Amino acid sequence: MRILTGGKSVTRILIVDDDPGTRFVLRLILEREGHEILEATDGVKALEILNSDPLPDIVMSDLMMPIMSGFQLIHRLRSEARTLAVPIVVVTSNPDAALGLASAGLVDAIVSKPFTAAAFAERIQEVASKQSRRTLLKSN
Amino acid sequence: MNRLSTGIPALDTILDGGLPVGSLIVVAGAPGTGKTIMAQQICFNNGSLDRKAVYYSTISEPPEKFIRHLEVFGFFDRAALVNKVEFINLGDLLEEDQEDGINPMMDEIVRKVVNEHPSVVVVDSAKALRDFSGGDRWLRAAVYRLAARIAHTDTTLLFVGEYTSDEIESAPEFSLADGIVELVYESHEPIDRRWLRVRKLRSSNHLSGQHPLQISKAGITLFVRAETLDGRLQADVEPEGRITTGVPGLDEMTHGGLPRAGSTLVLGPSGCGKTALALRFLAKGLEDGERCLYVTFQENATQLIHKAGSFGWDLNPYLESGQLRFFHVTESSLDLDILASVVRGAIAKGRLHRMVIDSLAEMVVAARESERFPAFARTLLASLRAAEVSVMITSETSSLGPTTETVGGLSFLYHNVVLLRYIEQGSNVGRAVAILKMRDSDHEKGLRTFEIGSHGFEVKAKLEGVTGLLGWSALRGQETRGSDRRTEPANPGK
Repeated sequence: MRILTGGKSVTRILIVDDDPGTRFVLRLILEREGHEILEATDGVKALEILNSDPLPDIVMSDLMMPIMSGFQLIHRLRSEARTLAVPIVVVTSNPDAALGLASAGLVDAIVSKPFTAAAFAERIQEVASKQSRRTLLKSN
Repeated sequence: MNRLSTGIPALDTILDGGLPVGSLIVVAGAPGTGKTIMAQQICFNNGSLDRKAVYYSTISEPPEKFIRHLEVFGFFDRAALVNKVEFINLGDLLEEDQEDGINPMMDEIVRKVVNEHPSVVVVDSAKALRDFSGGDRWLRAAVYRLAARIAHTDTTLLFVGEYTSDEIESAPEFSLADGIVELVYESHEPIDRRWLRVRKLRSSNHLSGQHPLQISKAGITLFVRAETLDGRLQADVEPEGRITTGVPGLDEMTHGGLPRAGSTLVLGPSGCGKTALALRFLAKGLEDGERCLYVTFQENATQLIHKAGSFGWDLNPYLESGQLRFFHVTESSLDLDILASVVRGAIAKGRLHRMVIDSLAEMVVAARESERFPAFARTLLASLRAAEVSVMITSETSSLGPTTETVGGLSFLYHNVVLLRYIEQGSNVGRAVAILKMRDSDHEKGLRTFEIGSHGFEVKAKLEGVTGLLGWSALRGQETRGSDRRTEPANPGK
């Protein structure tokens, strides 16, 4: 993670979503905030990216996807030591469906579709800041 | 064969119980015909925690847009998304410029079906597959493999696409499909219409023909084309006995009332008293504790209740208790199959004893389907007779004077025909009633005068000793035989 002046952090965010339109909008919002974006169309493609270094700072995943769903991807990430601590944000049309993941401590935030750009960016910034503090504590 | 209920009752009836499981069904239609709404409704009706429904979009509309458009419909349940109904975009699995560009998508569908055994899987638009395969040969092979694999499961696969009639005739998806459901949007003044037709459904005794389809906030509502139920609605036992019309003089003319569960056509010119007679017929049934339905195309329930009230018959308590029901539909939105559906629904809700249709001539003209009317009327009347409903149907004659026109010569469809007409009496215009026909029953052959007074429809004296009654004037019989053929109006009161 790189730290910019003004306290804003630049993070590498992996967007996992089957809908090109959603990926495009998320990229637009997040790049405007200075973040670096990676994209995957499903859970399997996301794992391929996550297998290479460096790990993204945040994984942002839809739940309904072909080949490997968001649920499967999240459980995989939380079952492997390498990706155990990567913050995960679920972006979904039905936030209630992700409550189980949140209460089990498997995800860090849930963003409901449809969303406004400002609210979405703010939510991601919260997660990024939290991660940034964690990293600092760890390094100290 | 096991069936998957669509959750749309009339569609299940049309499909002989629902969609066959393990089958590939193509839902074809131009944009705006309602095929996507229908497929989504089927998904929400069937998606459960045990067995999901999966909606795959290709390159038609992204899932988010689908969901946004869905929110207006009553069947949509956001809480069902993800766990019960999945919307998944397959656009990224379609590979351009490759002959087998649709194979990754086909593999995803099979994987989903085998691993997660959803109840129903929809691919929308399936027509997009044509753009990503190396021609009909490749498409045929891919669809064949998919259909063959689905056949071993208990999932129903729906291909939804904007196919033209020519494509339905020749495209490989259709020859390989187990079923073809076609949706059509038809320009039809004054209100356009949509309808559905099952063109093919293997191993099924489905209902053929055009079935009207409406889209509302509730989603898709279908109405079974009435004639397709012909033969399933015949009475097991011929009804017996008579019912009173509530008009003593008319009961005398019919020698004890109308045969029970019969159909009676009341012909007459505008303003002659058809509705007054129909209201009395219904009011009498209500007074006797019978359940009644009044189908009206002009006056609404409020107007008819007011009219009945002016004759001293208060229908409000019966309406409030549910013993009486009105179905008012304006001519512009009238559809014969919707009418038949309402009638079947009223019968299904419980015993229905009497029914009025006011009026037939308007119905035929408004429905703009005169060519199918004889078959429709026969089916409707058969269903009413099977349910032992006594029905009175009014029909307006176009002439104020002497006429016995019976809606295109269809009086054979009705058990009884009653003629109301104006007659010239001196310098006055009077009214006369005659029983033209009663099937399997004797009846009075002459005419009687009648009045519409404060007590409603009242039959008066017989017109005796006069002739020319089917012309404009009732004449004294002996004077028409006179050598000078001088005529005088008859005075039936004397």
